[in-house]
Amino acid sequence: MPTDSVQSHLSGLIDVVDGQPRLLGSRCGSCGTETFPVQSSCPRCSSEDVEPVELATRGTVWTWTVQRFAPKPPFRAPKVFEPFALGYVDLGTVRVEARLAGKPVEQWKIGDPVRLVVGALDEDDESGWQAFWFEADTDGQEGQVR
Amino acid sequence: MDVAIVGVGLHPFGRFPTPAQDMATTAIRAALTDTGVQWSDIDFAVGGSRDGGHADALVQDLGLTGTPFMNVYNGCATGGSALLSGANAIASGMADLVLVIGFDKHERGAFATNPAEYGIGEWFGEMGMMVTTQFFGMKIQRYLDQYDLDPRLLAELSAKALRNGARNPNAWRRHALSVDEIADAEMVNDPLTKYMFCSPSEGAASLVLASPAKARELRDDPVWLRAVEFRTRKYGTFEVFSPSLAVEGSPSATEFAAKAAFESAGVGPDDIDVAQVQDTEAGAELMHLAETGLCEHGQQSDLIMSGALEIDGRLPVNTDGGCIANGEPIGASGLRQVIECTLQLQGRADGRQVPDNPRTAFTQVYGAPGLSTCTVLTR
Repeated sequence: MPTDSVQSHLSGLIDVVDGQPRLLGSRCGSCGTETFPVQSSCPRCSSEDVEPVELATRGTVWTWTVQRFAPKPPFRAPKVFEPFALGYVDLGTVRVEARLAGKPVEQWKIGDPVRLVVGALDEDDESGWQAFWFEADTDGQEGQVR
Repeated sequence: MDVAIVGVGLHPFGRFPTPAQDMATTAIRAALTDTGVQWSDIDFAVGGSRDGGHADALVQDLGLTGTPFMNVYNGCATGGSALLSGANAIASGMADLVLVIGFDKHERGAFATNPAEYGIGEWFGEMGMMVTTQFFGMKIQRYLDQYDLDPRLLAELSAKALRNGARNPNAWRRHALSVDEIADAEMVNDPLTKYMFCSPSEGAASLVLASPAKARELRDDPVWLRAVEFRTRKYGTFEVFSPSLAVEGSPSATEFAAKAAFESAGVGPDDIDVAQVQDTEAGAELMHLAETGLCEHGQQSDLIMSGALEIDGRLPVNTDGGCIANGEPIGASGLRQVIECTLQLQGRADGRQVPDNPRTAFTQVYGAPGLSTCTVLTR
């Protein structure tokens, strides 16, 4: 069921517009560079004239790998660790690192289309702790807050 | 740069019951003995460690002589920063005889890193992305695709590292594995299998540096540090612990540091007789071969498959087994590379000596979050 907000640890990273998640970044007023997440100055030209920007919600996989062992803290480890795919998603103006879901981990390919999703990564986590990830875009639908 | 290496000392790399600071003093005493001097002769010292404690605390064991002793830290490239600081102490005239030390003792498994230390929110680690090994997998995955290189080259490089490590009594991994055993091993972060990674380990490495006049007093075969160049990343590179990357690309920190080192030394990549490059995993060596200028991007296949990188090849690389065979005590790792080149140039690399009296050597160390130090050494 889509919601209209995200948990506090995602505030500043994610906004919800009409039930759809948006990643929040910064855009440099001087050179146009976009970053994720928000930062107070431009890493390219050092300008402090930056403002928040909503990033694209769809993109393509620029590179990927599979995390096959459980990371150490602060990773929120589920009771049973399952390998997960992750990669950099090319959003046109910036490439964002995120976990990838929606197909078997070893089947990802560079260039695969994906869309942004926000929701609970671990169904057994009673807090319903939210994360963002990109999922395989097979039908052209918009991403969701789950 | 007119700075000489007049002595080297190592505590073997691997896993030991020994406290980190005892490994450090063992390496320092070996370097002092190799130089033929006492700790009280040293007029400046510099060192670094991530998990082994403060370098300057070693004076309690070495002797409380009042010598200035500076601590440095730059991740996996800490050894490069220690060397640069020591060399500059001599080049500036501040000191004539300098001790450099790197040591470490890490817990098992991939490093646990606090995102806040890199200016990143907790969420990045909570979601499972604060992991160095993932970055290595993603970077080489992209590189192999970009240059249409065979992933099997990664297994070839690991096999070379372990072959060389088997010939080095100070290495941790001294058991050669076949290319098939490496390629078919458990996948850790695709396309990298478990035998393609180095592991955090333990050990210590120390050098004594001297001014030219002092060097001539001490030995007739000093090795000359012709260049030490250190660069951090520019906008557009692909580095570890990056929540996002730029769409526009840039040469890496290694490319700028290597170019500066060659220019400063007045030699080119074609002049190099032996090299040590950062091989945190086999993909790093593959990319660094090109980033350093030792070959063109995409041309690694010829170099690897022709045997050119072997100890008896045209361009021997990672002759002591590199990080893959030695593991990575990150304070010591960059200094291990310089020690190996020093021994090779002096003809003292027992069991793994590069033939035909190599004259010119090169080292490159890389650390998070995107920095590199390169050196050029000559006899």
